[in-house]
Order: sequence, then C-alpha cells, then structure tokens
Amino acid sequence: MNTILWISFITTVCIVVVVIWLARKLLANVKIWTPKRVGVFITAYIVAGVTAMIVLATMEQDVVILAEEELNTISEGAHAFREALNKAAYNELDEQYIKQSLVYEMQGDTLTLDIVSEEKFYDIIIERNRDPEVREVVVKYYETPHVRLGMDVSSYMEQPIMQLENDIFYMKPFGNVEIKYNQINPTIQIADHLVANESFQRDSFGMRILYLNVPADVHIINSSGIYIR
Amino acid sequence: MSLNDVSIMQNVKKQVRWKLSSYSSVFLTIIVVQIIASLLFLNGTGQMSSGNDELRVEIRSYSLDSMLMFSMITVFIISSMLASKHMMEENFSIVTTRLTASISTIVAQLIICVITTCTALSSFYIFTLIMRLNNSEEQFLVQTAVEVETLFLFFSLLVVLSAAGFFVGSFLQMNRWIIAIIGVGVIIGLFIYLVPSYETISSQDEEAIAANTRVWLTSLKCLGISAVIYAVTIYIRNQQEVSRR
Repeated sequence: MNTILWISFITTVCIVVVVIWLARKLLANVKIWTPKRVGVFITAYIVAGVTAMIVLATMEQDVVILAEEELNTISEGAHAFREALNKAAYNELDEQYIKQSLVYEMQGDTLTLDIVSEEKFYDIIIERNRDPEVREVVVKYYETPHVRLGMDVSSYMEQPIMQLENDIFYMKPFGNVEIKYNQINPTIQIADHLVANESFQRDSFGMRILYLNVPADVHIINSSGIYIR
Repeated sequence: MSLNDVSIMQNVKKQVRWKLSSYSSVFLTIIVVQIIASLLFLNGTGQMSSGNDELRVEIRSYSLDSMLMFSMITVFIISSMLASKHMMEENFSIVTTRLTASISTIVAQLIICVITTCTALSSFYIFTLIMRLNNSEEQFLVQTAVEVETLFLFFSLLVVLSAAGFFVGSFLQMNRWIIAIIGVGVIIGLFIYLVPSYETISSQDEEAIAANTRVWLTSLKCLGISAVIYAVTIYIRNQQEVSRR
C-alpha cells in the first residue's frame, strides 16, 4: 500500500470515529429518535434509494457500452479490413467503411497532394493503375468503427473535407477528439480489478485510411513540390 | 414464583430484538457515515483513460468502493463497541447466558451488515442521481443494475470486519496489549489471505466466468473466516469471569 492509500485510510478511520463519537453524544441527548422512528427512517431511505435507481435507469443514456456480440461483429469486420490492407488486396476492402469518395479525370501528368499535416491521424495508400487508357484518379476515404473502452465513439469522429480540382487533391487535417464522461457502475472495483476492465482495455480499435488509385504515369508530389512517387 | 423453560432460540430472538431496538441509533450513524462518504467522493472514485492524440476517452467512474470502505470501518467500530464491557454488562439486564448473549450479538451484527448493505446501495443511487441532475451538461454512462455477487461480496466483507471488530472488542476486555497485537495480526493475516490469486486465462468468456467464480469464492472465504472468528470469540467470551454489579 502506498503512502496516499495509507493517508486516505487513516483519514477515513478518523472521519468515521468522529462521526460515531458525535452521533453517540448527540443522540444521547436527543430523544426524538425512538427505535420505531429509526425503523421508519431506514425504510424511507431504502425506498428513496430504489426510487433513485428507477429514475436513473429510465434516464436517457449519453453513451452506450456495446454488447459482447455487437462488439465481436464490429471487431471481426475491422480485423478483416486490416487483413485485406496487410495483403494489399485493396479490391477486398469492405465498401461499408467508405465514408467519402471522389472520381476525377486528370488534366496533366502531375498530381499534387495538399494534405500536409504533422499529425494526420490516417494512413495513405496509393495504388497505381497500369491501364494506359484510364486517366481517372479514384479517392476513397475509409473509416472503420472507432471503439474505445468498449464504446462505439464513431459519432464523435470528425469527417474529412476533400477536394480534387486542377490536379490538386486537398484534404483538411483532422483535429484531436477528446471525450470525457462519467461512468456510474455499482461494482466493487478495489475488490475485483479482475471483472470487466481488462476486456474494456482490449476493446479499443478503429482505423482511418485514405486510398488513392492513380494512373501509373502520373507523378505525385506534395504541396511543397517534393516528389512522392 | 414460576419457572418457564425458555429455548435458546427464543432467548436469542428476544435478545436480538432488544439489542436492535436498544442500539437503533447505530443505523443513523451508518447512514450519516455513508452520506459523508458520498459527499467526499462526489468527484468520482476512480479515473481511467484510453486512446492516443487522435482520440482520447477519459472516464470518471463512480463505484461502491468509497461506500464499502467507510461502511467496513463503521461496522468494525460498531461491532467492537457491541463487545465492550459496558455492553456486555447491559446484556445481563435481561435473562441471558453467555452463549445466548454472544449469539444474539452476532445475529444483531449480521442484521446490521444486511441493513448497511441496503443503505449503502441507497446512498449510492441517491447521490449519483443528485450528481447527474446537477451536471446535466456532462455525459453519463449509467449502469443501474447491481449484480448479486457484488451485493454478496459487499455483505461478506462487512461480515468479516464485523467479526474482526467483535473479536478485537472481546479480546480488549482481557490483557489489552497482547490482545491488540494478536487482533491486528489476525486482521492483517486475513487480508493477505483474501487477496485473490491470478491464474492464466485463455479466452474472454473463460475470464468472465473465472472472475465471477472468484468473486463468489472470495465472498464464501470471507464468510468462512468470519465463522471461525465468531466461534473463537464465543469461546473466549465463555471463558471470561462473571461480573458482579
């Protein structure tokens, strides 16, 4: 046990001792608390607790923890998506994860990617189209569900703003997302650090992928003019 | 003059009723302590976060931890007070034997533990509701249902502390220093023994099952230990001299 825990423990003991001592002193002189009244008070307190529980249960939830099955389905889909990426099988990428897409006819032979950002929070995949007849650039933005601590937080994710004109592709960088919430859970966490938290820690995933299919003869440069491919 | 045969059960029942009504103020004390615990932990009993620069989730959790800690200490002190010399002498103001006096005190303590568990849950729900209504702009994830094993564990831990308090209170009537050292040693030993052991768990389902089993096992272990402490305490109290007033 570290020092803070010892201090908290001793403080708690002191508080309890003081409360018990005060209660004994006060209740010895106050005669209104007969056993019958104490019984009524305890019953009323428990009824108030039950009522509070019912009210809490009927209140709308701000965040929902995913059920095991739902979480497994999402996790499997995300896993299959990652597998396809690892194998470079881009035609196998699940289309349900496409959030935005663009198709653009190239005018020249150089495509500028104006997506400079130190923390872009997504991976870029560029695939070359070897068909000399095709002059099209296909852009697809994929986003798998973002799950953190067992919750689907995809709705908090910022959606991209993409433009492709005059052979310049622009994508606005994403900002940081910070979600804070209060979890009310009638469990004994100090006694069972075992139960749910470990699985919650594992249940954190989510990917953002920017996929570009560019004709093989088109040069790709960044906004500073540096050749990429 | 009349002689009546009173069974141990009847005697214990009568005494339990008498004790609970005589010491009914302890219930108010318990509720006051729980209210203080709720007020002290209005900012949560724990915090955790997950994520990276892209997406960070921070959780402020509200659990029964603070309530348990405060309730355990309260029950310990109340139980040791119930075993004090003054209380023991009061026991003999109604027809009793040492055995029935001890048993009735234990039963009264168990009832106190049950009521403490109920009021702890009530305090938890009342204060979380108040907090939720006061912070309507914040986001909440509320899980209201309490699991049976959690309740049972809460109760079992209270019973252990109650037994320990009774043991310490009874022993303090004897040679105080030796007894206090033995008492503290026993309590520390119990806590070391109660720390759950970890095993290698292969899948998530097995892990959940193992976790629940461990909670039940810990609860049963607590009750087993409490039974042993109570038995030893009854034996010791039976050895004590009869006081003359």
